[in-house]
Amino acid sequence: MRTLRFEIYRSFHNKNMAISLLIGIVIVVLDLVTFIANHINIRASLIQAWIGTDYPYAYHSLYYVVLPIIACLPYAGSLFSDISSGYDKNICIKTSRMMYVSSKVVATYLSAFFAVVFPLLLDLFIVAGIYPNYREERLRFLVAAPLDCHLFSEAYVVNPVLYCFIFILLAGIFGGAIALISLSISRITQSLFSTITIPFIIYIFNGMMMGGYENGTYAVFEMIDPVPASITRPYQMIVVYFVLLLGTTFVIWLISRRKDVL
Amino acid sequence: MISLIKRVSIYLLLFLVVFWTTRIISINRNTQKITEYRIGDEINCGDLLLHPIESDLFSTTEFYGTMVNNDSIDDYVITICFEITNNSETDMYWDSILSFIEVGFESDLWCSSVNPDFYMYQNEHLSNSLSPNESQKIWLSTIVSKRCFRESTWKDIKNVEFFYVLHLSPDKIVVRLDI
Repeated sequence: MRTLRFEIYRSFHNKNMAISLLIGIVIVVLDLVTFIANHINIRASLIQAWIGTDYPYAYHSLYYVVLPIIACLPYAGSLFSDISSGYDKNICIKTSRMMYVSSKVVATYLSAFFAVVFPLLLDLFIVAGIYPNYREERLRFLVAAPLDCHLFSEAYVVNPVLYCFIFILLAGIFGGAIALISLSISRITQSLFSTITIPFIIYIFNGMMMGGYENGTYAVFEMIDPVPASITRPYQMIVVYFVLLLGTTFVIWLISRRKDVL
Repeated sequence: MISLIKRVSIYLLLFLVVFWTTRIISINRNTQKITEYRIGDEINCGDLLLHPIESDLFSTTEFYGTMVNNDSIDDYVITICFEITNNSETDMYWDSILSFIEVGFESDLWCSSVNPDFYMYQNEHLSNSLSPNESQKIWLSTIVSKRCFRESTWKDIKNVEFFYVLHLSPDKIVVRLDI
């Protein structure tokens, strides 16, 4: 437990977490300022102004494209850094290797989740105090309202803010899983930069190759985007998430086992 | 000194959160006014009197007959019939009448504007205006595509609440369809 607490403390109290939060906050602030500047004296709703559904401006796409960087920057490269500096051998004297790596996995997941979710929540909070929360008129073509065939469309009908919360949670959950890719490749990468950016490359490649069509999508980029560009079936989201999570944790376990050297 | 600054910052942050939360509550007090009519009601729009007579949901085979396109064979066509009366003392051009009433159809999780091709297919105008005190029935329709709905909703599509939207702002005016 001490190792876990220590790793969580390290993951939240480091300069990379501050940089990651700064990147996210700058993007959402720029989006908000652009939206307000283009909607002076024009009636608008919360669901139009929040960055997750604010599709006319580039900042919406920018946030969801750089999401892996925002997720991986805080702590995903820490295992690589510890291995490079020999710090992991130090820690493993005082605690078991499995305990150390498990704590690292939990801390990385939580820090990635927080780094992705905080800017989105902050934007939602600020926008909620400027624009009223109501379902925008579908026939005005100014909002990317989900249709019946899209995921969580009933949440949008109940309350658009609920829809926003669901997608914020999804972004955080997938962000955490993406950050674990960095941990799983820590032993084979040559630099901290590649450890942090390889998940981003995989994310973009996955978005390009498995992009949506009528029967659904396996692209994470399209699944977590609140603007429903394609149909996502629930089983596809579950499959992708568990393949990502279980695959990365299996690889992390595999590379972290004690090795008998003869 | 540093602990004082930290304490002041925390109090300031708390104050901002509380202030912003009360602001969120106050700006969400007003709700949009929606006026809903039903089939058979009369809608007085000043110079125009609108009377929604009937509405229906046809399969595309029923609508098109043998000319149905294979891509839309599973879709439906939703339609509403209005009897429009010109209550003014001058002719009213059909362009103006249609621009006033031709917004579209919607349900909670779907919407579509009126299909102009269907309009030409279903309606015939002997002149380009409606004379004073004259009435004419017009049909407004659009496709309800299967792709927009889940399987479970599609099987029960006739129980979905559809509306025809006459006006969006400042107040919304809708006609509840009777299917």
